[in-house]
Amino acid sequence: MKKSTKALIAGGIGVALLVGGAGTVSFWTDEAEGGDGVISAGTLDLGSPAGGGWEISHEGDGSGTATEPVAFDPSADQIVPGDVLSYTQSIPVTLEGENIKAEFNGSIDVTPSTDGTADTALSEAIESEDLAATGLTGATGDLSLDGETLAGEGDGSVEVTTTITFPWGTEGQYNDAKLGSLNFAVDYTLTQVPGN
Amino acid sequence: MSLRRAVFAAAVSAAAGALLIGGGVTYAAWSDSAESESTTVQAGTLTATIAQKGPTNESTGSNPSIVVTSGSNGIIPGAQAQRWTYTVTNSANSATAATGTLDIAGTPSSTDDYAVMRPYLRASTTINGTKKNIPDSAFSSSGFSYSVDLGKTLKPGDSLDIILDLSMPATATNSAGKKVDVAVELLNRRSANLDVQSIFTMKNSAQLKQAGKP
Repeated sequence: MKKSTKALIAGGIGVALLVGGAGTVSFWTDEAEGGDGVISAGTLDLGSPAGGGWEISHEGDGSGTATEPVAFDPSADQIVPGDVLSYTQSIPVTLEGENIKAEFNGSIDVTPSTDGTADTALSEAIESEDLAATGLTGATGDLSLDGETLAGEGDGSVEVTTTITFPWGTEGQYNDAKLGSLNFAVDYTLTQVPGN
Repeated sequence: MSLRRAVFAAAVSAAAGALLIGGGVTYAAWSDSAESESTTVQAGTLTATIAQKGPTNESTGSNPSIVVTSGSNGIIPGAQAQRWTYTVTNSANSATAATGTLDIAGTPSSTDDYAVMRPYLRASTTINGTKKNIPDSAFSSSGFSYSVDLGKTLKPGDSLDIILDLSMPATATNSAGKKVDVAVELLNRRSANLDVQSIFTMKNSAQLKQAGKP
């Protein structure tokens, strides 16, 4: 009895081993591949800035109400202390991607036209005030602008207004900047931010 | 793997994950940039000019007892003043409107003569027909100094005439409180009838300041 119990146990282990070696058993199998698919990346693109409208107002020493902005022609008009210049451009943007979200930003680049004293003094006097996305035009898809952040997919143009100021200063502080000349440009950037 | 080791490994991998997340700048998120065209912006200027006419002889007072010899030049107490006309201009090349002052500075030609004449010297300005007396304090021991407020804003190209009259009254109260005949007091200081004797060397200037109020 004791012997037959042992044999039975040994036999059980043998069967278990046979069953465990499934790869060698020739029962039916089948497999099927999923449908082919192409996964495409979206995009984030800034086009060439268009237009570029200048306006000028004058706030003087701040003691009165600033004048209403009027058109400014850089090739003919000149600035003086107390002036506020604004520059508005339209920058084409394209966002593609399910979870795309991007922040619009930029930096104002003011440099003296030459190494001359007046040009340098003018460039140093100018204060870069602000760069703000003021609106989105011609938007397609669900592209939207909230503050500086673009979300959704589509094309559109971001209206950006840059403001620089020639400060009033103290009496005679910017005399060196008389008849000075500066170069103005804006570097716009669009940077993806987490979409969640 | 003991329980203790497993926990340690989990903690290490979590820390590695945190480092990856923390290093946000290394994320290869998309970005694009575009640059606007460069525009040249120019500053204007503010330029003041001053032109002078005179001095000319101007009749003052109407005291019948004072008779002026024809052709007499210079200040005659109670009868004749000296007049300068200054034209201050905000240059047409200026890019801004400006207010300002005409700064008068007269250096005595003879310290001795000036000290005697000083109590009797009178000055006034006339701008756009409005006459204003210059206070006697403008005549200090060192000379004549006064700043005349132009009183208006000059746009680029605008000018303003400031008339300056220097005179002496016929009579005045001296430092002892006695009313005196000025001509008599200064008898020894007068010049020959057709001659002029300098009292001051004038060196005036115009100061324009950009108007602060828009």
